[in-house]
Amino acid sequence: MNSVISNGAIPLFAAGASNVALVSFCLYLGFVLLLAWISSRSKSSSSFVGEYFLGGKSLGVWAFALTFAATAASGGSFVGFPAYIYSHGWVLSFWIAGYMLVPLVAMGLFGKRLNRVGRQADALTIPEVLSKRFDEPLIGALASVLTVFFIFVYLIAQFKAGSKILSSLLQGVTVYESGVDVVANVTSGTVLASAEPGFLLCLSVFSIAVIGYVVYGGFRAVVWTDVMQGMVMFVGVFLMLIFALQQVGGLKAATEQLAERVPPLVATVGVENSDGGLPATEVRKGAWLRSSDGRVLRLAASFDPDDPQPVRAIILTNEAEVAQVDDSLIDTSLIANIKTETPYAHGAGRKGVYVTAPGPSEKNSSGFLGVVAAFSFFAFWTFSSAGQPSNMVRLMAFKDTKTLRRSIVTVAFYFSFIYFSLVVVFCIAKTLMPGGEYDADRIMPDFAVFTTERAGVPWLAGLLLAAPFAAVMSSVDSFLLLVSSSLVRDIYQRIINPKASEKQLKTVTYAGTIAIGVAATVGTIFPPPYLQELIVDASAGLSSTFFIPIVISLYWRRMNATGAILGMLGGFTSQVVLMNKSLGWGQLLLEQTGIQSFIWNVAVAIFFVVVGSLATRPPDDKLVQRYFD
Amino acid sequence: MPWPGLACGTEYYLSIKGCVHSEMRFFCVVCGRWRIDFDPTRIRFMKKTHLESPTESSLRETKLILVAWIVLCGWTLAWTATRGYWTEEISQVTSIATVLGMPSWVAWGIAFPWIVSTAFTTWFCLVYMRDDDFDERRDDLAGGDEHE
Repeated sequence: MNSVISNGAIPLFAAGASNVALVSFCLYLGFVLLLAWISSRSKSSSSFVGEYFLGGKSLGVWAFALTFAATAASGGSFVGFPAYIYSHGWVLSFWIAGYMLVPLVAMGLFGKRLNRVGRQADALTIPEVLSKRFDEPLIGALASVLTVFFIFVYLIAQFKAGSKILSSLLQGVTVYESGVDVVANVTSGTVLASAEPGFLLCLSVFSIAVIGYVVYGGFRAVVWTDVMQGMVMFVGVFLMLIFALQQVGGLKAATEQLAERVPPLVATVGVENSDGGLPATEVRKGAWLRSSDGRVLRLAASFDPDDPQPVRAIILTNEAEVAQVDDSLIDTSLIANIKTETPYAHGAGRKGVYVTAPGPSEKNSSGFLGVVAAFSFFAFWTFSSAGQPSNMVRLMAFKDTKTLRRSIVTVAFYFSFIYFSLVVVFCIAKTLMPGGEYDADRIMPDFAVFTTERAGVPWLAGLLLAAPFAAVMSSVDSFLLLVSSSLVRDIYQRIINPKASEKQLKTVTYAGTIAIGVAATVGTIFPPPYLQELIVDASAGLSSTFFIPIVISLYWRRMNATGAILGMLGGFTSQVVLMNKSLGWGQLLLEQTGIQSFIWNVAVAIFFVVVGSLATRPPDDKLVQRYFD
Repeated sequence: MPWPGLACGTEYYLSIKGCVHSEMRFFCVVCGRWRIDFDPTRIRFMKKTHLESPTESSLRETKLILVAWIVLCGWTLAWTATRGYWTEEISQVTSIATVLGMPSWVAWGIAFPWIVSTAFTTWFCLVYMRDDDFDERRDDLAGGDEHE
């Protein structure tokens, strides 16, 4: 799950508590770098690339379990998912239900086979496994190119998410604001002048930190920082759950209050002073105002008096919610003039809509989640997770099957706790903190600050806020290493310089990882439009391309190189065609059936693998015997 | 020395200690013969699965995972589709039915199968799933070791 947090306009922290975020972040970063340094001192494998890209295939239970869990939980789990829960209610438990089987499917379906075949083939990357399994270098090259393409898009999105979260957390912090001024001065008059200086500063800090420890420590550093980040996520969610349940008076009370809620109205408003005329300064996004007829609303975009176009706003429609908004938060010097107001397409005025399926929806008249879409997501979460190369490569790194078995159980309990708790926490957030729809992506940091301040422990907010940041960082480091390994192992070592010495490999590895990190950073400064859609497409594209060819190649003796190539290209092409908006029928198919592109892609890939293999010569007996007998 | 399982081609063995000349013997319950040519360090109650290759055991486990997926997905979808969707009556009731504080359809349609899934995962991994030997001793006919 992935999402990009919007750039919040109002500081999360009150002035007195603002340095909490900075101190927490510095402590967190310090631990990450310390762990990377310690882990780099414990390298054991004699082969540099084997150690750097796969940690010598010696991961134990905790390392393997938590690196798998932390990598799978990206920014979306802690930013986009909470935003969805807050906006649609309990139906998100149905949406995420597939996670009940993710550990078993993603790790158990072919983890043992993949690890064994990886060892038999002496492979360090997924393209290398495919290439050696079929003794066909073309497969490895094709798989590498597709991996690098999709992962690079993913990487840019995660860099952006990490930087956005960081800039949201640090708003209002004195040191940060000074730094922003410095960056603004430095970039003034350059090509970077059009980029937001706060974002640039956070991007630089984020990039230097993550590239630094990945380059320095390789896979082992990534794994051990993932372990720490996985623990931070667990503790963060646990504390939020306790605080939320305590403050709402128990889960039953929260559900009963939520059952009384109806969706807000979506409006466009102009803003003026209460005595007439435009406001003197910009009215920031998130500001609470009253309309001329006395209703309470929240701006979802900043109102600029120099360009007084109507802006989007959320009007509260529940008396209980209105009563929860402290009068001191409402700016009474301003009045909002409502230009248009639109009810939700599904659920408007209906009590109980937040505690039932399909859940309220602003735009979809049939609701947030129909049954077919729910089935689609159930399949998507489980099998798409299994098909992610970042997850697969971890399945090649555990030291023995005992480790695998115990890790699956660990991850099963971990995911059960994290995801179900998040549903509970943000259903409670909907009842305690109204108006969050103005920018739902901010709900995680906003609620962390809200609950800790109400609990009288505002300093703990820093730890809770580290959780989404840890989620992003643990994914970024893994993706960075994945792209680097593909370039070095599958392209440089296999195609460009097969006789490369250890020293040459070392140099190319360090240079390659830095180059990819820098390229991703540069790409993030001016990210392409519709980035969020690209993330989802890249994720589905990766699993559509690799899941079926990998899983069938591990279990079907008759599969051959032609089947593998056609399967990868079939899954990839199907994804590109279905996502191509200029081809209307692809979008129409998805909309009419409610079935996700991943499911169609899997069907296409299976067809091509089977037909491609059966229509051509069987694989060489010796090759089959090597990997199956 | 032939491995008893292969020698008889049977599925189950019963070990009896000290029957004749203080030797350890196996009684094959299928062919009804006593056998004494065994490796005493490998005595155990054996099942057919111990004779599988690593690939076969992985495939068997994969099939069970897929069955579990179908059952749990079916349960979740069926329960939630029939009891979880909004109806006009829901907006009329004064209090929604809850179990442990969550809506009852979430409790029985999501939380219950989730708990079952976690329990199944635990059993599958700690009891059912077989350990493979990654040391490439593939001439070992037992194929792998039974876990603890």
